[in-house]
Amino acid sequence: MKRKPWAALAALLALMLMLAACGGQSGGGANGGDTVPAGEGGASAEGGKADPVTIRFSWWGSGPRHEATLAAIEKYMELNPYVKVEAEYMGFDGYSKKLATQFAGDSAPDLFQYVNSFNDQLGDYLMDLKQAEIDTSTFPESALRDFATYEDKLIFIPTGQDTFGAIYNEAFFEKHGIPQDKSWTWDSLIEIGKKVHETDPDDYLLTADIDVIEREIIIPYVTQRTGKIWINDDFTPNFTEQDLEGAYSYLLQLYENGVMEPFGNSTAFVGKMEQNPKWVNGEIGMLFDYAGAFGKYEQSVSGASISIGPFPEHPDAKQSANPITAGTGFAINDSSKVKEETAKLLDWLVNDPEAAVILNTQRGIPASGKALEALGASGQLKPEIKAAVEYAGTRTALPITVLSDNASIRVAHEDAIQKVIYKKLTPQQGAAEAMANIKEKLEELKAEAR
Amino acid sequence: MMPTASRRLAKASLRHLGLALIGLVMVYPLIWLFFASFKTNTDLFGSLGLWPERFVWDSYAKGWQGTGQYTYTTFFLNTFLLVVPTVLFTVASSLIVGYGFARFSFPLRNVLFAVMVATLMLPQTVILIPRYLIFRNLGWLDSYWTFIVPAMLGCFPFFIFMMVQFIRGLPRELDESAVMDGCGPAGILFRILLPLTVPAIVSGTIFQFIWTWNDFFNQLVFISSVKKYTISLALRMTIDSTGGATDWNQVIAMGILSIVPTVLVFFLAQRYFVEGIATTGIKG
Repeated sequence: MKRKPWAALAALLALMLMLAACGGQSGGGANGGDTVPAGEGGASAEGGKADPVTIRFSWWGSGPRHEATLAAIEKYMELNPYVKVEAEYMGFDGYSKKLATQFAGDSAPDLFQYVNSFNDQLGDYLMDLKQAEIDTSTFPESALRDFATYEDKLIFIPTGQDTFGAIYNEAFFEKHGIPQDKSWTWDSLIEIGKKVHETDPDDYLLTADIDVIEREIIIPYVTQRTGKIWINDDFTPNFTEQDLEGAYSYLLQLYENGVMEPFGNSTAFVGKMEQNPKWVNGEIGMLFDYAGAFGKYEQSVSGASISIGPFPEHPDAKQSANPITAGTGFAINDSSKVKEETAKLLDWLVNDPEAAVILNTQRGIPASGKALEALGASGQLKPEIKAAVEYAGTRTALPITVLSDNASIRVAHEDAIQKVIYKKLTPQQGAAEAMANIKEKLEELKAEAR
Repeated sequence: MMPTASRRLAKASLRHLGLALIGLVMVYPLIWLFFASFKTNTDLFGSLGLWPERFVWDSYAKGWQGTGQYTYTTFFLNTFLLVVPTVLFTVASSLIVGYGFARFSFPLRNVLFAVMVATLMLPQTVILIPRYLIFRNLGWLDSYWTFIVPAMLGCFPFFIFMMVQFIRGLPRELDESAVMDGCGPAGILFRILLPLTVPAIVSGTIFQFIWTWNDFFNQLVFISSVKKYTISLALRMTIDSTGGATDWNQVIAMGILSIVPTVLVFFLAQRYFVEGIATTGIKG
């Protein structure tokens, strides 16, 4: 007992010294800052004139997206043997923090998936893609202008477009005799939802968590009336306290009439409504989300068909609440050493017909017309999602701007909404508080932007 | 009069029953997790029951295959490559530094000790960027050196503090008698004190093992190649909160496998663990 620890520790110390020496060595080798040179990278010598290039490419997603993207990368490397793409993929949690740290340390990947809500933090580090050799003519001009432009720079190329839809359970609609081709108004939601709950007290027509309430009920309810973008780019709100008060009163009616599942129940499933047991068990008829999220709702209810219908609208709405969004895409690191090659890869990923089929709708419905056409022709596009986006295309809608979708403004607004739901404030008081909160946040953001 | 033996038995069985019930409540989430790994997504979210309606048997096999290029064999190996050296070096370096603080007086000892304790209270987020920059300049990013080297250099004040407290509790007379017998400072540490600090070493090992094993954020920031991913990164790799379907049974199945080593370490070393924790506090 006395000998052993001594020997073990001595061995440990020796090992420590050995490893420390190794550490120094490997440190010298990988000092480039760009990427660790890959051992087997030199194989492409017969590939011809081009020098070998290594591109670091990072994205977030779940299994199917990783697999599709890896397959696309594989294909690209096959076509361009002198290019080596290093994939760095992960889930969404922590993605932006990691990216921010990498930018701060000047070791960010060359190409990465991007969403315009990162603009505040990362917008300045991105390459202006107007200067890159990327075919942008295949994209709707509005998508590039409204979503991908930051301080006059084109900072990313949208990969997919998406729109809100009413995702519904067909069996539920059948049970309650609701026609599937119904075009919903905000009033008909109440009328039918009330009947549903009276017929079967376990059933609710709708469920919504606080994010959905804010983004897909309150804001559309107001903006359909005003016909204006929620928040102006000059940091001023585009609605009045009366507008908010009306929307809040409407929200209370949804609860009072049993149209919507009680707030306390739905609140456990913020951002993951597909895990709500009432939805899974077919006791909820409908929920609002992006059409692109259709897959997870479809998968969550076994043995029932899920479909997407249009989003509710006032009969005299000045605009639809089905705006097409294109806020997610690929961006290039402005300090990348291989910008040109990275731009080529980006162009291939978003525009090439072959890539479109491999990537499918893993990043939404392709925003590039060329890619969409190729995917449509391959017959692999989910008809429900296609229909939802096509329907949205027929409506006049204003885009959801970055400021309208700003997380801190949303939180400030949601705070007031919850007080109204819990009856701590009347709709009128709630509207006053929300307005004050939002204006205060806007002032802060404005000050930061200067 | 009731015979004391049987009364004692009744009391004991009652106590055991109570403890077993409490134990069951504590382990229930783990049991639930185990059965959940055999459930379909609908089953998982649709009911609260323990028993799956329909067993999914391939969640372990499929989960092990991982997504894309690497299987969990790689991820497990990576995790051991990261965790084992980190833990060993942490304990070794903390012991040496702790010995220094506890037994020697040197200029600025108290100041240095205060600084060391102060760093204990420093939030991780504050030093993240400076650490990242240092590691980048050293060329260590995307390697396990970012974890191992700090462990070698005694960068874990919590464990140093623990060692100091423990060694202070050992009588100085032992050192003195060793000096009489001709021991130098190293001899005292390795021959006299080391065998006595085993409980503290074991507690340090367990803590550091579990913390490093479960750490997500540091690994996320410092490691970017998927081929170097550890389990905590691999598990999150397929969970996408922004949409997209997740096969939860596979994630849960791998989650269960990932806690096996920590549970094993904990149970194997539990005896020392309790001793180590109890004595560091009281004797100081």
